[in-house]
Parts: sequence; C-alpha cells; structure tokens
Amino acid sequence: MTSDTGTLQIRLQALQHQYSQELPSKIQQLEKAWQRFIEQRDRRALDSLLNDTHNLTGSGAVYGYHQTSKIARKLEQLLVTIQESQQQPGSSDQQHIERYIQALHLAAQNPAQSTTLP
Amino acid sequence: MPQTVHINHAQNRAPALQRLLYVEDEPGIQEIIKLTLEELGQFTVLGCSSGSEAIATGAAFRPDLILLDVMMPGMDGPTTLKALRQIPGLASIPVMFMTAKNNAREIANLKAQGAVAVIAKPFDPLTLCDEIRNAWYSQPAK
Repeated sequence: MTSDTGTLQIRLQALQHQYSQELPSKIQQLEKAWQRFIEQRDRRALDSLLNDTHNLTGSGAVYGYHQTSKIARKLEQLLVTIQESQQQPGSSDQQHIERYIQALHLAAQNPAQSTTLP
Repeated sequence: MPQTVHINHAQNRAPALQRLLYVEDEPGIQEIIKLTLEELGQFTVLGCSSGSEAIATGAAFRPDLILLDVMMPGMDGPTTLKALRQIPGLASIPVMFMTAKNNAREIANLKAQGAVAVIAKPFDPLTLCDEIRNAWYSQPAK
C-alpha cells in the first residue's frame, strides 16, 4: 500500500465512521416523517420520507451497509406505490412500513449483520 | 490495388477528462464520491448539492463532464440537465446520469435525454473512477 492509498483509506474510514454515527438519526428522521404522514395526512411528509429513503438506499450501499440499503430499497418501492395511488395506505401497508423501519434500526447497528427482511 | 487505411484511434478518442461537475443531494454520498474522484481519479471536482446550485455555479467551473444524480428533491436530474443546456458554455458538455433505477427502459430514457452514459447506483466508490473513464473514452468521436 502506497502512502497516498493509505491516506485515502484512512479518510474513507473516517467518513464511514461518521456515517455510522449519523445513521441512527437518519432512520429516526424517516420514522418521524412516517408518523407525520400517518397522523397529519401530510403529503409533504411522504415526499420527504421517500426522498430520505431513496438517499438511504444509495448511501447505505456506498458505505457498506448493504442490508440497510436492501431494506431501504424495499421501503422506497412501497412508498412509491403509496405516493402514486394518492391515497392513505391501508393497514397492511402501514404494518409493512413499520416493520421495514424496525428492520432498518436493527440493520444499522452493524454493517455486516444479516437481518431477515420482513 | 486497394489501399490500406490506418485509423489512428488515439485521434478519435475523447479529449482528456479533468474537470467534473458533480451534482448529488445526499451529503454522505457526495462527500465520499468527491474524495475518491479527487484522490483516486486525480480529477478536479466541483460538488453541488442541488440542480439550482449547479445552474448557478457550473458555467464558471468550466467542466469537461457533468455527473448528475437523477432523483433529487426540487429539481431532479433530467430537469437540471434541460436547464444546464440553456447555459452558454454548458450546452454541449457531456453528461452522465447516476441512478438506482437501472432497468433497460430507464437507461434508454435517460440516454434519449442526452446522457452519454448512465452509471448504476449503488456503486463501489473505489471503482467509480474507472467506470467514468471507460464511459468517457467510449464516447463516439465527434
């Protein structure tokens, strides 16, 4: 390993550590947006939730949180369906989304941990 | 007797790739990609967090290539591209989209909008530079 590559690796690890620290709050933010959407029927909260979930899909994979990324992608797909329907989600969809959010909390605890998808 | 024609492929290749305008709204992704593009790829990179920021600052940066995330809040990638095409100096700069919707139909749709390549997300930051260079040098000669 050259010193340049070594320096890059150190900086990449620092960014990954920072991401690990921030990940739980990103998921809490998703959860709050979801609650706002359900309780207040606020479509902007759904837009925000969808955007944040999309970003989590991408960033999770880039930072090695592959399970987080996979769960976020499934959540994103379900949210797109709900957004396109322009209706409030039924109880079954609500349950699925809450399970996905719980699975995200679990997967965020360890990038290498394998979490069973709901 | 037929003449043998030698084609100098080096002359047909795209010009050297140096300056990248990179538009991505997720700070975590932008940070790691900018780092690898600069340190590993030795590119000069201007990172923008939104389409409107790219529109405001892109021309002064004089990029060789524009890398555009597709799904962004407010102004998405294709809308940003249309606006960038109206700016003198950016009207003909090659664009590569980056998207997680990497099915054949979506890729064809993005290329129809003028992208020279579509990079599938998620990607490995450590191989992204090679992917960009491969796509850059695969462009048809102008």
